[in-house]
Amino acid sequence: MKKLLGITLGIMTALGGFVDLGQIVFTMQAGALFGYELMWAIVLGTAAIIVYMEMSGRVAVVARKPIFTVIRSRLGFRLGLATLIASNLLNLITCAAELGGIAIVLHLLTGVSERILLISTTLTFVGMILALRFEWIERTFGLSGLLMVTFAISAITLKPDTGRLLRGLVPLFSQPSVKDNLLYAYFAVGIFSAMLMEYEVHFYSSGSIEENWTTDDLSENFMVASLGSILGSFLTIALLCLGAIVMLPRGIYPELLSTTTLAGAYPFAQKATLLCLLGTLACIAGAAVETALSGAYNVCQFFNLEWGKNRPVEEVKAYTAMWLAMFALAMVVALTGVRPLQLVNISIVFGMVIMPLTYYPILRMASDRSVMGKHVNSPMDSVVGAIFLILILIASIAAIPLMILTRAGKP
Amino acid sequence: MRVEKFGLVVAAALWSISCSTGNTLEPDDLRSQVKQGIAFASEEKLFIDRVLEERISQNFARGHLKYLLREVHDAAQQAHGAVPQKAIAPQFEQYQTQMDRLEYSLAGLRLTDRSALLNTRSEIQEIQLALQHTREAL
Repeated sequence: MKKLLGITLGIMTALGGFVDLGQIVFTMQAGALFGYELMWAIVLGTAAIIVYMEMSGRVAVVARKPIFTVIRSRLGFRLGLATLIASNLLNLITCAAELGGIAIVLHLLTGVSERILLISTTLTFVGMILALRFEWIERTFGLSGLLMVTFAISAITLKPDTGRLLRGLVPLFSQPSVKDNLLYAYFAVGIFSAMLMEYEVHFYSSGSIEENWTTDDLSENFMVASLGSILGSFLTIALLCLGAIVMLPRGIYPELLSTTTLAGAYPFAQKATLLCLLGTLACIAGAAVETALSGAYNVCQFFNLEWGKNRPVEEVKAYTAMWLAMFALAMVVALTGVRPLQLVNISIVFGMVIMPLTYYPILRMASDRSVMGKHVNSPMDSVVGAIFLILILIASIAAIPLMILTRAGKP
Repeated sequence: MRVEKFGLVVAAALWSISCSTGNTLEPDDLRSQVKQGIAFASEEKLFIDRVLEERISQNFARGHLKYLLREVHDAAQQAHGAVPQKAIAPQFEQYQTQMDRLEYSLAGLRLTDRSALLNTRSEIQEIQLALQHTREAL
């Protein structure tokens, strides 16, 4: 019973923490431009994140090796270091975007100046992380993120066209012009990338060590990675539907976080706007915390330094200094006034570019019988893992040219 | 070596993106900007409807208006800084005029005055139609 409760809580937490700023905006923009036609990218992204998350959790539990320890051992020091720098730059950009997004949401709720909100939010996060144990940080943000269900309720209330939704499962590059086909491809890569944001997997992998999972918990690892992601992807589908139903017929291209809230609360009265704002706030707050902590995990794991949220600060000084630095730098970036959605665009595209460098070592390690023993990838796992590696490579190669050719997705 | 190459590719990509927002406007660029203008007008109408139906709080309305105005202002400024190809000069002028009107209508929007909101909505409808004509002429 206790185990079942733990699994349920894990799934709910994964569901609540599934969506972040990039996914909210990118998916709704995709719906606003192409209706339901990019549904397949969500399905593909969900399958990829399940495979990646499950493997990284299993490797962390069985080999006691989190992602950046694996990366260093498989890629070598130089390429591993380059991957670390790129990953942490992305974490920093994403954290800055999420902090900026939080300030916007709080401004919409209270009317207080964004700068004051930005600084006070960052300080609040620092206080919360210092005060709470890992599992409570994860649960607080993950479970409050469940308020995002408001978006799903709105989408269902507006009755999406199920026929078109199902037809969207088939990739069709049949837009009227070359430019539109490029835009379609850009958003396909963007959705795929937004669903595979690396920090989520790095955080999850480190979390399984933080929570002292053993091989007895591998079933929980599988359930949380798969069911949490599948349920989370329903929220993403809801965002796509809202874009298709509310934005597309009016020719609106959502470029503001507040516009996505308008769509989320569209069929309802004022209280739904409040719930949408709170849900968005919880999700992006969770993402901000995860990116800052991921930055610290990555560095400590790569350089074999002591780390762990549940350990006393004096034992993990480098780790603590690292996540504090991540928050401080992200806050400074956000305070410059750069728009969160511009940062998100960059983090989604460049996240895809470096994805093969973090995915491949985990796939190799999970397939290594000498390390994984009886928990090694089955032949089927290896085939599926290899298929996703190819897809990730294709998306990675296409990401920057598509970004240039579409001017970062300008319709 | 691979690391340096990767760095060069990223730098080249960022440079290309920054260059792609240059000032000489081609028909395709203008078409894209007009489309954006139409989208802004449409979003403003949706926003005004939500305010009129009292479906959003005053804080939300003020905040959203501020962000929307900033986006429209940036688009209008971008238009003023651009030089169109000769063939699309009339359409470009029309676009500039409508974007200025759009910005002006948003800047003067009074969220608590119902009749003013309705008037602004009608004006935005006109702007949207004008932009649609511009788009068709391109």
